[in-house]
Amino acid sequence: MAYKNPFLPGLTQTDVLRKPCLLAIAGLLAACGGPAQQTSPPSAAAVPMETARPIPAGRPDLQALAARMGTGGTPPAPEQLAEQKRMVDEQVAYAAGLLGSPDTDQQISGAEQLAAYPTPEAERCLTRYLKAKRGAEPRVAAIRALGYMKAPGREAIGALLTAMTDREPRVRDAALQTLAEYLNRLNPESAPFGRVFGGLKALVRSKRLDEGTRLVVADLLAGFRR
Amino acid sequence: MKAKMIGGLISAIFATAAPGVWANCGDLHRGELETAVAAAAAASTGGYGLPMWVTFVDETGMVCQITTNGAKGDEAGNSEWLGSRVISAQKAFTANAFSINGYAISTANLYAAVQPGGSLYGLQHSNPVDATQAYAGSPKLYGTKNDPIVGKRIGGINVFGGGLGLYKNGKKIGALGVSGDTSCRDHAFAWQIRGVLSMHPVAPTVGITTSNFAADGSNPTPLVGAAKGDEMILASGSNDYWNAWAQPKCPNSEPAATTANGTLLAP
Repeated sequence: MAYKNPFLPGLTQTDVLRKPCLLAIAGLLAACGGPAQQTSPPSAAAVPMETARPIPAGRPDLQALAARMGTGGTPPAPEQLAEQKRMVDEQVAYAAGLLGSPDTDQQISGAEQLAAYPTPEAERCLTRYLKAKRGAEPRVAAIRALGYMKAPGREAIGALLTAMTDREPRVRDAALQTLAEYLNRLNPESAPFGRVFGGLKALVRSKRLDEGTRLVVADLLAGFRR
Repeated sequence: MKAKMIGGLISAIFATAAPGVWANCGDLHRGELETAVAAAAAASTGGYGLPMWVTFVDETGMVCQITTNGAKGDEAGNSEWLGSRVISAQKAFTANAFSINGYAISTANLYAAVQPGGSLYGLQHSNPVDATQAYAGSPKLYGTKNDPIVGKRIGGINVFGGGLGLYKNGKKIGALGVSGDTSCRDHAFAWQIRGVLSMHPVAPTVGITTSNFAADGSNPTPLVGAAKGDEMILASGSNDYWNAWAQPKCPNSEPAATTANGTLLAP
């Protein structure tokens, strides 16, 4: 259902919606009327250009209607992006509050919720949480949530590498899973990838891992050329 | 012609100069939505009378609000159909994606055209749901104002009843998606909500049921009761033109086939 302006055929919908002055021109031209075939409802049979008929009297000219009423563009405007950011920041703040609750279930809920809003602030909250003394289950939730961060920072990666030698096996397993996800997802040329790879390699060499985990990590690293 | 030129000029001025012409989540506050949901739940809309999920998206398809008149949080899945949570967002996304200023299309209107052999066959596979956005977050917050799909563009195309565009002052400001019961009741429920909110499309906005073309370019006579343009038409199985824009009847749908529910019967 791609929009094509009949007066500016080289113009894509994206161009029109990102360039208000061009949109204005399109609006002006649309108000002057256009070819009948452009105003058909989406699933009417296509009318060939050469046999297109003018809009019958009393029938609505849909493009002209839309142009007169402003625009209903799909790409977000700067104001909408700002509103989206505000909504996301509010969600992160609320979830961070749950992380600070004395109730373990609330802490888990907060960690899970931060996974849905993987912002730099969410990453900071989860990393701080991991470094504090907390129960195993909520720390597992925080570690899994860190797996949703698109470009994990130095501190987050450091906290996950530390978790690899945690007393709790569930915490160690979750940390390994998240670090493995990073290796599979991050650009191998990127600094975060390098930190994860290097940190895991150092752990393998340090012998601070139990034998089983050491072999798994070594096998994981062998799949990447560095 | 002169009126058209003036209208176009005004449009041009708005497009280049006016701040805040874009709709946003502030067009519909949570309290207003929940009041309208309660009113819809009290109306006679057919189906099984199950609790519903209701999503409001802005005109970019971003989820502004999601609520339910069933249980919220991690009890939601035992109270209302958990699958309907994302489906309600999908329906809202669809109705928003295919309604514009001047022309309204409900998700129910799409059913027949996307079937094999139809002119929109395969449409339901375009614009897939972004699963990384739809399923992340804490289930304890499902249906609350902090539901983890708030602020996200979930995507997805759904082609049965429950999705309606929302209109204010002649402009499409977003859409509503309802899911949780039969698709016929989902549509009727959404229609009731939209009526309480006074966000039905009004003239000169038209839609599938009030302004359409046959393949030969002629204009079929609208069904009696077609007024807003995106009413759901329940199929009769005949070869009448309007069956091509209808969806199947659902359990307990005929008693609720009224203009108050935005539901018409094909001849």
